[in-house]
Amino acid sequence: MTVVATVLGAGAFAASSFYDQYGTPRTPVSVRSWQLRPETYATSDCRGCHGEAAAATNGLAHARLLCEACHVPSVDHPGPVAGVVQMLPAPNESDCVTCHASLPGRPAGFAQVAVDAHYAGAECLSCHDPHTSTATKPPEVTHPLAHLPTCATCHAPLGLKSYPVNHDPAPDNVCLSCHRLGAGVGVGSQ
Amino acid sequence: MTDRVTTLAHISRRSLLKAAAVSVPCLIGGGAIFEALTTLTSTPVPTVDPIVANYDAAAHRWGFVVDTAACIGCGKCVVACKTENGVPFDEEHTRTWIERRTLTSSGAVIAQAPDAGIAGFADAPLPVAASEIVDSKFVARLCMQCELSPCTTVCPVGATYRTADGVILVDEARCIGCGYCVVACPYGARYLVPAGARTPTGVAGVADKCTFCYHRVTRGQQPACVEVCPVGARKFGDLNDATSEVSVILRDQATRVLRPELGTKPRVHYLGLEDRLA
Repeated sequence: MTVVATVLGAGAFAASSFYDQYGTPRTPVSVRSWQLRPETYATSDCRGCHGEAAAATNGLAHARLLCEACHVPSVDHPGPVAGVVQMLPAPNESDCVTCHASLPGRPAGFAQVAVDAHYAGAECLSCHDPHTSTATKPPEVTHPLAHLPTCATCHAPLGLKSYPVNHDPAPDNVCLSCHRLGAGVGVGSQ
Repeated sequence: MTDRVTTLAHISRRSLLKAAAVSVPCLIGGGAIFEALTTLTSTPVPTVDPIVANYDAAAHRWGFVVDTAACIGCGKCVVACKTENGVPFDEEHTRTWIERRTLTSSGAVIAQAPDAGIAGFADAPLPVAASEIVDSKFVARLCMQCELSPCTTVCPVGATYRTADGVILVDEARCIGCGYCVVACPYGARYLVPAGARTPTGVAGVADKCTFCYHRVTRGQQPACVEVCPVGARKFGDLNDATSEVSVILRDQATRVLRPELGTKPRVHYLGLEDRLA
């Protein structure tokens, strides 16, 4: 009985010491594959060439981002084509909401907006510059825009460019009875 | 007959105590002798060519920290991983994924990982009302690179191995695609490469999993997911270096691993993940 106990005991210890001790010789194919694996991300200094875009992020939240978080991996960089350096893809609406839509689970301190309530109907990029991320573009918004949201989207009491206090919220056709698209300021008949 | 039974019972009762008194020290002693013998006689695992030239695996001990308090669930890491490693862009075959774990007022934890989190969670509504949400966190998942890894133990051909720096890798040339490791992994971190997928060696049918981007880290770089994370929620570094970010976090802050009760000793640690969500 003691012999059996000893053998069992030794076996138990053997099992525990052998557990996960495998380190098999790698085959040459496998070894070579690691040496040949290409990298696709962070393979080049994007900001070195794209100084303007890089400068726009200076001191802002997006400065810490890898360009490839929104743009294509640097290994897929199209390179100079007929003198023009292209960077794909073009800025996309989903690039913004992927990170900045207000969602359960997101840290409270992270910049996020309720997409349905924040200028509903307006494209993020018609106001926001993706590099600076701040809403710096309204002055550049030209009226009319083909996809223009309703006037009140931006020209609401708490909107980006609010209307005077003597105005009441009104549907577009009321606004347009006085204001002309493209003129911006009120040039109506009143 | 009755006599025999009585005798047996008598003997076994007495000898049980005796045997216990003798066998317990024997068990410990025998084990200790065995351990000493194996330590004395065991030869180091035969080293073959370094996996990457000019890289000394024994000099490193890689560690990974996922900061769930910072993760925003954007899915950039999943996209980067799949792009970097030729992983199919679907939910079933993935090296890393993001899980949103939500504790509801009824006490249930809802786990969601739509498309592995490739496109984030902006279009993934929770099946409960906002008022019922008690807590919610994005929990990035990947291979835990366990110190005591079930996957290496079950592999019948030794295709899954652990390097000296602690990373578990798969030798695609040895793997026979039996899938034991896929089933054995308690973290669901492995998959079999489907036909037509672009793999490091172009082999479909072999097991694949997160390698900590071994081709990158052996060249002194960070894994692709760590590079791309816009909020720094993924941190990777050398635990042998006491000043590395991961070392400092593990020393100074309360972290946890997933399913510690399994005794797998994961090398991926979670920061800001409460027990109630883990």
